[in-house]
Amino acid sequence: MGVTSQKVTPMTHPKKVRRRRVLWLILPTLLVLGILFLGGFIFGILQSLGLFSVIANDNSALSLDAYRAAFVSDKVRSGLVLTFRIAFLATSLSTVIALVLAISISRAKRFQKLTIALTQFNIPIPHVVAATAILLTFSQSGVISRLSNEIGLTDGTSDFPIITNDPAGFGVLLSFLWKEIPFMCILILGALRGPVTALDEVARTLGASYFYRLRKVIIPYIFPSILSGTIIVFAFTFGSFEVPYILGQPYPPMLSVATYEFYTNRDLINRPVAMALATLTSLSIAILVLIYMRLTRREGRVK
Amino acid sequence: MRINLRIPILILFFLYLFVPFVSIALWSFATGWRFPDLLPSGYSLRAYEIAADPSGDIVQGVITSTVIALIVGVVATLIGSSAGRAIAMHSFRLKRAFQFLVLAPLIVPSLAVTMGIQILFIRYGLVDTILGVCLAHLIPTVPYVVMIMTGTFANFDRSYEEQGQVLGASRFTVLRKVTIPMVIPGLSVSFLFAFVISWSEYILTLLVGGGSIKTLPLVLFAFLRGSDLPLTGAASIVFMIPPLILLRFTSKYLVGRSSSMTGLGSV
Repeated sequence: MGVTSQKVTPMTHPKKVRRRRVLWLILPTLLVLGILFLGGFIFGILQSLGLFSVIANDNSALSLDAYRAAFVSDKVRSGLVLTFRIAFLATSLSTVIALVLAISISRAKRFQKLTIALTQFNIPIPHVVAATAILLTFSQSGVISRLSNEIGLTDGTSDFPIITNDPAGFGVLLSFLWKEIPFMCILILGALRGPVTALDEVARTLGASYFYRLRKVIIPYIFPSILSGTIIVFAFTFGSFEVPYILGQPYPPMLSVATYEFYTNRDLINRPVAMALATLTSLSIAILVLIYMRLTRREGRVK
Repeated sequence: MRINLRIPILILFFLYLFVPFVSIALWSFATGWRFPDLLPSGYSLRAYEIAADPSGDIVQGVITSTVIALIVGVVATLIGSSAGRAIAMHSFRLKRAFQFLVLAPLIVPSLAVTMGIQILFIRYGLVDTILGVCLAHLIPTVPYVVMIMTGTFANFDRSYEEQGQVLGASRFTVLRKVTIPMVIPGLSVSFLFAFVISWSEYILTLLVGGGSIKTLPLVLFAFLRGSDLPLTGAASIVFMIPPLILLRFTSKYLVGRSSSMTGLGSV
């Protein structure tokens, strides 16, 4: 017990030893992400500029042809709009719904363990399974259509609205929400379990109303979690491939699906276009995230 | 008013979460399920019998996926947690740049990166190999581990390790008896995330594995195309079980007094 009071100083290793130790700690991650991620990303950009062509004996030089081809394509332009709309809706809706759910779950006096367990249930479910389940549930011959047919709300399969593989991407959105609401909810619940409960208690005994506490204590406290959660969800839904591949419509495809179509096109001339699209997608996400962080940082400071 | 609304909202939410599970489960046992029928006209285990065929796609897919996800889970957790420790407990040169590198794969879609590395993987003979697929899977998994473990090590009290050292324990003993038990919640959640991300990955596996490394997502996609819905349902159920078993053992660390999700709240 006496050890606790004793001043132990293995921290005073020579600077060199400590620096070497840090290097060993970060080296594996540095190698994996530096070579595989950064390497892949940079090689993708180089290929989008017409270098490292897969076509034999093609001595093409640096060119922006692939970007030009991507920009003039109607498929790409309408795909970009669609992708942005779905990613934006998926992020904002899942955040708002998860916030409401997380706060009501954390305030519930009964069944709290059960509701948390049920909310967690979806988190490890693969997106491919989620999309399949949404398809079997919400398609025109799905379970919901059967139910509404049974109670006489709709008559037959064609009377049920098309909400999977539909032009507005509603099915894709449903699948994203199905996965991301629980994710955001658990993220927020995790933050709500921290010291904020004690702060909230203090504010309550000092006579603060529920809404005042929500605005001045709870939301500011969980704000960082919400912020990074929304970034993760937005970037993921913007770039996700599997879900729109299963639940999307052929035209206009979401950006990831369009990229894949260019990439796997038999005509190898389309490869650089795919690379250009992938680069543009990454760039769009990065710019949007940066704008978002700039905006919310100011917002966060006010609080 | 507020209190009255809460229960219907929760019920509606849980219906939305669970009706899709009911549809896949019903389809997996159905022999026939024509449109207006609310329930299948008959039930059988046909789809599961096909699924259980030892040389069939599903069993083979389970084996391949398990091998890959276990390797990726362990390796990502090992390397990501040491990086997390460095970020949380040390200051070093270019730390911001390193953190940026760690977060970037969360922003850049894996499709973009995979298309780029495919040419490198072809050159070094890594396509169509388990090793190549595992390496590719490290890209989306390591960042999650680093974030979760940075959060875990941010609340780590070093003095316990120092006490161990003072009492004469070797560095390995300190790691085994002090450090690991203290961060086990973070390690568990990290492994859960890394395993599940690898287990669910489709496009990386397809491009790097070249179709010859058939993990479960690839098998499920093939069934979806073939429109044998009972088989699709059974494959989906099989696909969900390992992640759910893992969740069973780690859920107490997701939302708990010491939630390991806080690390994800620090992008």
